[in-house]
Parts: sequence; C-alpha cells; structure tokens
Amino acid sequence: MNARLWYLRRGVAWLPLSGACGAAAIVTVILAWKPEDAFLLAPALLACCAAAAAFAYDEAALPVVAVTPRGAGWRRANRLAVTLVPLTLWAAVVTLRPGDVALSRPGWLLLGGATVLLVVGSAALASRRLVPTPGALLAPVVALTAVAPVTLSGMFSWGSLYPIGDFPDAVRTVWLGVALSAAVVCVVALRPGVRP
Amino acid sequence: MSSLSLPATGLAGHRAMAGIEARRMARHPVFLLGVGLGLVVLALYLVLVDDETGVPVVLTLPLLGAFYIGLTSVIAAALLTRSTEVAVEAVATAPGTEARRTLALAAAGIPPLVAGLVFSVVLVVAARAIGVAPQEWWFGTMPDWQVWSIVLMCPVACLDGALLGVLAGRWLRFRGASAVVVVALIVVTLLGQTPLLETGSSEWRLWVPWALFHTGDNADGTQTLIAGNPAAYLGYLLALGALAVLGAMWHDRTARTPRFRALVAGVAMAAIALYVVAATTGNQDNRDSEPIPSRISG
Repeated sequence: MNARLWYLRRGVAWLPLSGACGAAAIVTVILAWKPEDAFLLAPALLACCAAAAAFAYDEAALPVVAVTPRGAGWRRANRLAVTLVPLTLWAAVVTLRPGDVALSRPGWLLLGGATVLLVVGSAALASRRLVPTPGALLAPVVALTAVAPVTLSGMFSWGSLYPIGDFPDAVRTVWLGVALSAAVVCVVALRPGVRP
Repeated sequence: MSSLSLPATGLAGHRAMAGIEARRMARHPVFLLGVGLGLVVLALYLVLVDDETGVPVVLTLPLLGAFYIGLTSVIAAALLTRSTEVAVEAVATAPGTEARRTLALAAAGIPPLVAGLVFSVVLVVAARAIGVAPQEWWFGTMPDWQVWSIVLMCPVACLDGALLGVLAGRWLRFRGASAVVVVALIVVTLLGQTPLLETGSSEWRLWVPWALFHTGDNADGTQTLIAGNPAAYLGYLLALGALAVLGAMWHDRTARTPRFRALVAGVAMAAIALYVVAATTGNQDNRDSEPIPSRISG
C-alpha cells in the first residue's frame, strides 16, 4: 500500500490534474452564483473534471518505466485510482447541487461517471501505446467535446444531453451507452502486457 | 531542417517560415476534426431542420463554424506553438528571434480563416438555394452590409481562435492550458452577454469575443435582432486578433522596443475605439421581426 501511495504521489502529474480540478471549483462557484446558466455551466464543469482525468496517465519517462520489473499492469491499475479525484469532485457537486440547480442526481452521476471513465480509459489506452503525455492533447479535446452538445441542443429538436430537471429515458440510454463504451475501453487498456 | 537554412531577415525568409506554419496547421488532426464537425453539423441542420418556409434562423448559424472550427483552432495552434519548445535550445541558436518565429506562427491562422470562409460560403449558398422565410432577419429585411458582417464573423472568429492559441501557447506553460482557455472562453462569452441581451443596454455586450446578434425564434414566431453595429464589431474582432499576436510576440523581451510598445498601444486603442463605435452606432435597440406563422409555439 505504501509503495502504491508513494508511486502515485511521485508519478502522477498532479499540477495539471489539480489545475483542472481548480478550474472545476471555479466553475462550481460561478454555477452557484448564476444557476440560471446551468445549461452551459454544468457541462463546463463536466469538461473540467474530464480534462483532469485526462492527465492520470501522463508519464514523461514512460519508455523507461513501462519495462521495469514492477510491470506496466501494476502501474496502469494504480493510476486508475487517480480518477477518484475528479470523480469525487463531480459527485460532491452533483450531490450538493450548488445554486439549487434541478440536477437529477442519479442521471448526472451516471453522466459524469461515464465521461470521466471514458476519458481515463482513453488515456490508459494511449499510455499502453507508449504515448508519454496523452493529457496534453486529450484534455482540451475532451473539454471541447463535453461542451459541444450544448450548441446542438438549441438548434435541433433532439433535446439536450444535459437535461436540467427531469432526466428522460432516451438521454439515460445514451449515457448508459457511453458508460458501456468506457468500461470496454478500460478493460482493453488495463489488460496485462505492455503493447496493444 | 529547411527552416534553419532560411535567411535570418527579410520578407522571403518570413514568408517561407509562415508557409511552414500554415501547412502544419492545415494538417493538424484537431483542426481537421473541427472543420469536419463544423461542416457535418451544418449539413445535418440544413437536411434535418426542415421548415416549409426554408432554412430557419439562418443568421444564428455562423456560431456553428465559430464553435467547431474556431475552438479547435485554439487547441491546434496552442499545441503547434508548444511543440517547438522541445527543441528550444537548438532553435535558440538559429538565426532569428522568438518574436520572428511567433509572427510566423500567426500564419497558422490562415487555414482556419479559409475554413471559416468556406463555411460561410456554404451557408449563404444553401440559404439561397433552399430559401428563407420572408420575415426572417436576412437579406431583404435588414441592410446587406449588416448580414455580411454577421456572416463574416465566422471566419474572423476562426482566425482569432488560432491567434489566441498562439498567445496561450507562448504564455501558458502548463499542460492542458488550451483546455482551460477553451472552457474560460466559452464561460466568459456566455456570462459576459446573457445578462444584457434583453435589456435596454444590450449594445454594451459587444466586448465579448463572440457576441450574439440574433436570438433565434421567439415563442410568438418573431426573431430579435440585437442592437449594435456588426461591421464595427467585426473590426473589433480583428483588432483582438492583432492584439493576440502582439501579446504573443511580447513574450520575447528583445522585441519590446519603444516602436513595438507604441504599436501595441495603438492597436489596443483601436480595439477600444471600434468597441465604442460598435456599441454606439448601428441598430440602437433590439428589433423584433414580423412573426413567422409556422414558428409560433403551441
């Protein structure tokens, strides 16, 4: 256990990860101040949490550590625990509902959990393919992708993927699909071995 | 290696460096993804959002291009700018200064500008081919120069996105900086204008980097054209882009000559002047269109 904590403390890129969590905290404060803009601020908050998860597998010395006796599987499995940081932040915000925004707790927990898991799985997959710092590219792309559906919901009659108030079954199905994809990506990324 | 063998000074060398950066941008996967998404979403809108009168709320659609192409350009340009940092020691020994390389990086804004222009041309041609409701805010119900100014906000925003990316890449050294910039840009743009949109002083919203001029359909079938001068606002956006380039060049201490400082001050003053002109001229109040019968809710 000590070795795991020691590794996480030394090995994880805490600066960008905590920076993204800090940005999420700022967005939370703005959400509490402007709950009427939750249709955009809640996805922006998700974008920050997902961006934080993208840094979980950043490791500049990856080609070296990937072949150490401890093994790549041990390293990848332990780094998955880092996901708990943005996930905890997300769960806290959804549970507390700043500004009394009408967020359906089960639905929004599913939504955030699925997104963060998909991002961390993608980062783990990139790490498996020996990309040393996947977060540098993944974080901004994920941030933009998380907010993009907001532009679509105002123009198409499909409804929002980020519903405020009731959480329709169709939206729940979409997010369950994302969660399933995330689980598959994580399983593929975390299976033993160094290369794909 | 060709860039290292370029002349240290002169227009030819700079043109060659700018060409290299523009080509790097044009091939960047994040930028290409943004262009593809922008055009696909526009095509989906034109095909799926049918209305017997034609393309609905056509003057809001430049937002799609600005969002998908402009914001991905922020990310791509920031990554391009940071990518040279791994070779900074080698590059620093080459002829030329950091400011000169930054100026060349500004050419990374050319592909997004062209992509935004293509998006705008597709939009105008599609609206002409499919048609729009006679009451719609478009050519015929408002001055042509205002329509063109709002449509051209898309390519200018795409250009500015790339220039903002260069600025972020030069000054923000932490990983994922462009993610923070993108989220901050969206949040500031929203919070900076929504409280003002339906007030009597809506024209003062125009300080934001993407101002709305059209509300979309209202419940009573009307559409609201929001106050302000879109042509002057377009000039303001161009001045913001120029400020982004100068801000990125400011990172090089050797570039901060008195002449350069005067240039920065001049462009900043021009931006402020254009903002004031945009807010004080053009449409002085929000204007509602005639109701479009097919869009009346309920």
